[in-house]
Amino acid sequence: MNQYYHEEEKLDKAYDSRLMKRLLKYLKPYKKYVISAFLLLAIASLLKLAGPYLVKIAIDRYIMAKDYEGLVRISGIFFGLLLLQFVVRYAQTYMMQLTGQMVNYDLRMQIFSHLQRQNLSFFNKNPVGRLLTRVTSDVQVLNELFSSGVVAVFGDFVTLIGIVIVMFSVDWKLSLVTFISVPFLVLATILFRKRVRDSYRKIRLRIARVNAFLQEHISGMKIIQLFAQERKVFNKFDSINASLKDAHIKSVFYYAVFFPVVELIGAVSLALIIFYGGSQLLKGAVTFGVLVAFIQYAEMFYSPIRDLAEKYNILQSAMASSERIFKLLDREPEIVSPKDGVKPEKLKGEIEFKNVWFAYEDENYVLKNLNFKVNPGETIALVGATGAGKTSIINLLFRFYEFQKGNIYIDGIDIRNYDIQALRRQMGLVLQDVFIFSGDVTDNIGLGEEIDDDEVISVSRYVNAEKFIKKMENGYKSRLQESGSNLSEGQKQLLSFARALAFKPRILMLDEATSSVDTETEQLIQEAMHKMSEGRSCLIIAHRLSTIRNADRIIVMHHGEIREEGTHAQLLKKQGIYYRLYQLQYKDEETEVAGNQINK
Amino acid sequence: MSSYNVNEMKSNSHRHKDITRLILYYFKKHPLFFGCGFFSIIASSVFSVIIPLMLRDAINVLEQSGKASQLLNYALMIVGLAVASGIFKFLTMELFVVVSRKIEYDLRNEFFSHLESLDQQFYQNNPAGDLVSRATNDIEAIREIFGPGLVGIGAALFMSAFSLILMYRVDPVLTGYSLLLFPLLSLTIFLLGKQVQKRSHIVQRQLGNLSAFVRESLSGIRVIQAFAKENVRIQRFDRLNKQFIDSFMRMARIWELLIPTVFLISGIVLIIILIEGGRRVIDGVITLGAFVAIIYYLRLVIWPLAGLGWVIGTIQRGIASHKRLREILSYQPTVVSPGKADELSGIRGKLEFRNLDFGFESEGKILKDISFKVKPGSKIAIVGPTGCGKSTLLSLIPRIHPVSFGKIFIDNVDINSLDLAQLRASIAFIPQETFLFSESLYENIVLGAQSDVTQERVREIAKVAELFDHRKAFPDGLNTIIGEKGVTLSGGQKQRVAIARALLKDAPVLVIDDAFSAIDSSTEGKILENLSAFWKEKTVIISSTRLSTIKDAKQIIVLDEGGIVETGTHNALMSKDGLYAKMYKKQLLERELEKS
Repeated sequence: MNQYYHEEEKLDKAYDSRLMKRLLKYLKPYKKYVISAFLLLAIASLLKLAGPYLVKIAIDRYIMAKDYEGLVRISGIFFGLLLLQFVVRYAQTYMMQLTGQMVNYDLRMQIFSHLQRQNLSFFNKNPVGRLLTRVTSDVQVLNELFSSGVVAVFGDFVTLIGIVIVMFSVDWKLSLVTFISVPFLVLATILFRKRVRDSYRKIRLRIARVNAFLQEHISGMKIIQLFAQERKVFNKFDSINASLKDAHIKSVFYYAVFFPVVELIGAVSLALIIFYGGSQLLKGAVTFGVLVAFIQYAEMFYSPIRDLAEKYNILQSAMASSERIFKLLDREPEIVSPKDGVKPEKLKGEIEFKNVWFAYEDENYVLKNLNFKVNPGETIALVGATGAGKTSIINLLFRFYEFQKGNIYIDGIDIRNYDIQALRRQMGLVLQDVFIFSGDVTDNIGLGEEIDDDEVISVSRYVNAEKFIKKMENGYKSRLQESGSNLSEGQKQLLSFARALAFKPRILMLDEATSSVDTETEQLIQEAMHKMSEGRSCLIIAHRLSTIRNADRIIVMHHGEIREEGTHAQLLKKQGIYYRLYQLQYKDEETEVAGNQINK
Repeated sequence: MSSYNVNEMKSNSHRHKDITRLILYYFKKHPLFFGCGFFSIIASSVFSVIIPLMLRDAINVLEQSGKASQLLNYALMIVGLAVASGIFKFLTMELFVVVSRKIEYDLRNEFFSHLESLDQQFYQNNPAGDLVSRATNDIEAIREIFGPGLVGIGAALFMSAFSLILMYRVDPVLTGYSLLLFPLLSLTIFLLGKQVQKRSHIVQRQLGNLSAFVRESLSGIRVIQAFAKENVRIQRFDRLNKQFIDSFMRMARIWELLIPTVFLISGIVLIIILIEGGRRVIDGVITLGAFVAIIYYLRLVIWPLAGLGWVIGTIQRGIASHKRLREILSYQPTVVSPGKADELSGIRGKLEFRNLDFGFESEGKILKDISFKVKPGSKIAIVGPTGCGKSTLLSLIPRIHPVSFGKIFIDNVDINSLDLAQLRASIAFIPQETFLFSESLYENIVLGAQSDVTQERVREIAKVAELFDHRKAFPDGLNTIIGEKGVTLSGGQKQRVAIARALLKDAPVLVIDDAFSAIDSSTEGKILENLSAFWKEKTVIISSTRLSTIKDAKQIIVLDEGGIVETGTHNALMSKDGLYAKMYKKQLLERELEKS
């Protein structure tokens, strides 16, 4: 069943030094924070050690000597240290959180900017949901690594070393006896780590299988139901689900053994302290205070090991997340601006395709040896069936995709020599499906860029959008709902016209909407389209007869090739494809329009 | 388990009403696990809390300058108690984790089998990714209630209760001081918890804004790039990103207080014990051993209590996830078998549509007043422009969508009163969009089989569907593994697999929903020819965008905007010069273009 496999869920190494090194680089700008956090942590860990030692002094010097005032005094010192520890510990965790969040912030910025630069082909292959996970959950997982995992291990380490030093300096013989059990602890940990690592992998693999199975069978549920395969598929799922359960159950055994064993080793140390230390005490070699302090230190020594498993899990998921993030960051977009690319101030708007071949993938060419020229200020209507290659022309002019053969020139300069962003700023685009961003009307026209209110109003008026905008509750400040559900199709179209003209493009490309709108809006749209094409070059994927008739030239495409070219009148006269298309498709429209006019 | 019967569905919704009911349900289902589990927690707590008593006695021995051999006894007792406690800790973990994993497994099976009963409209509203996340992340979060959650509560409860009882026996006065811990710790957890909750709501909201912004920036990437507004988006993201970490830090400022405060409180209580206990030792009221034992008990009590904060978080997360799960489980399937289903013996394949209307909620009608009859064994075609409703019409026959206005009859029986399995068994459906599973080609085809089939039969069918005319596509023949969703295959190849799959089903009614669209017309011709022998006795309803495919049908029904506008044979419709004729001429023109 290896085929149930997700690209996302490859087996991850528990620890990968290459990934870790790269991750640590993100800490560099916050070196100061990190260093001070580590210092504070070291101080906090050492302060923790003071407690048992103070108890030792309290017992030996004051309680055994029946000195109550002394006891109160040392308790006062204890309290002072406690407050200090509180402050240091808080400052340390806060600082580490802050560092973690800063790194998160940087990572998110980097991933988001990286995504904004990717080509459209990238987005065709990577669903939005998956990319979103990179920016949110994967980054969040890394935060835990910075804010608790790695740092806590350092703190534990300092504590352990500190305990060993203090204990040895108090009584080295008793210390040796206490630590007799440490080799067992090390052994238990090593054995445990190996087992857990293996079972962790097994679990990851099985989780991936469950995920992939669900993803696939939920998507194909219709087929399952049509062929009444529910029971069979359910049984398959049951077995995959059960194998995940079994892996979990098997892995818990190691945890369930490890923790009691660690505690047992701790208890053995306690027993040794009591037996050996007590015997020494009876001989007068050790005081009560030492004995009590050792009991507490031993307890402190074993407790960090209990968190080991949790920290190990944090590390593993962090490794998996960082691998996914870095893989994404390493993917460079294929189409990038050349160095010192041409940044046009104001294009004339001349477009030329010369022997252009283009395929979205492999050798399935959707544009075949395409040749045409658009003169500055000209309006060209592209006509043809779906799949004729009209949209591809627009995609190439916007540099959304790279073409394979031939050349495209804009104002006589090879399109590949332009700075992509600068080139796009000279062009305007209207798509069939208007994408509405959440925000108000102004935001949607300027797309978030600073733009004069007057400018917005004048462009909206120009494209006949002003009337409906003004009717909205808050005019230009009205919030548009996600996907523009509070706008009609026609209103969305008009809005997208305003958006396309807002920054005065020199070349306008327009994919006419096919959805039907009411007659009045239709009038507004046609009028706006006519105005928009004035004074700039225009390429329109045309569905309306009026658009075609108003065009300077019509290009009839079929299967990636230009079949006919000319004005409406010329093409009709030719009695070729266009003529027949016109007879079938547009003639009715003409009579309809005429009819409407008569009715008025 | 299965959830195909209606009764069990009802009990499902009952047990999922709230988390308490769910917990009680599983307690009843696994009494032994939970019984032994809680017993183990109690036992391990009991053994653990005796250890400080040994400590006390050992120190008392030392104070009275006893013998080393007595110490050995206590040392051995401590090890013995630790072993006993360890064994029960092991059992606790085993029992709770095993049972919680079983519950997780159960819930996931229940969830999946529920999904299998839901219709396509549900799937249109709930993206697969979201459902997968509920089946994995949310169910895992619910499991944590049953695993670490219950163990944490049990440990905190029993450890502190038993410790207090024994502490009281060691020294009631010092125990009284230790009791200070409870109000102080719970007050801290309560106060900080309330603040954290409030602030984490804001964090969640900011995260929601951030996610929504990213989603929008990725879905609208074409517009953003076309208008060269990437930098504008990045700047706005920067703002949201900053707002997010600000809100996070505002929460962390409180959250990070928790552990230092627990340290502080337990330290303060320790100091009080130190002063008061020390005085009592000095005054000779208690022994030094008792004093040490009380200090030791403090540690035993503090950590389970402090851990309660974490346990509460786990439970809250689990409850939230259970809510999300319930949202799906409470969807009632709209397409179900009737309680008392009519059984038909041997469906002949007579079909009738009577005054059928259909539309999804919120959208307008897709089908309007559709009425027509199909005789058993006859072939009928449904055509019309894109969006005319032909796909929807066909999908109603096997009740992919619920039929609620108007009726469809098969052999004079209303399909809604027919057993769903029998209805679907009698229809072989070739959908417009093929879905292939990442299994072998063979498995994908036999998916359609009603009973066991021979390899021979599969081969035969594959030939009818012209599956192997391009050997390259299936290098291992029927054993070729098909990649996820059939990514390795072309559209035409996928459609041919779908055709083979449906043919193998050998049902009396064959529904073909524009399933030749990606197959080139010469192959299509061959397949149709192969089929003509195959479907002689079957009722066939075929829809096609390509009109040449259905030209020869005895009856052609032309749909437009959800209603029937024309019916007749090809010739009749052509001479009528209506919508059909127009569409046909246009396609003829396109074909001519292709040839030229």
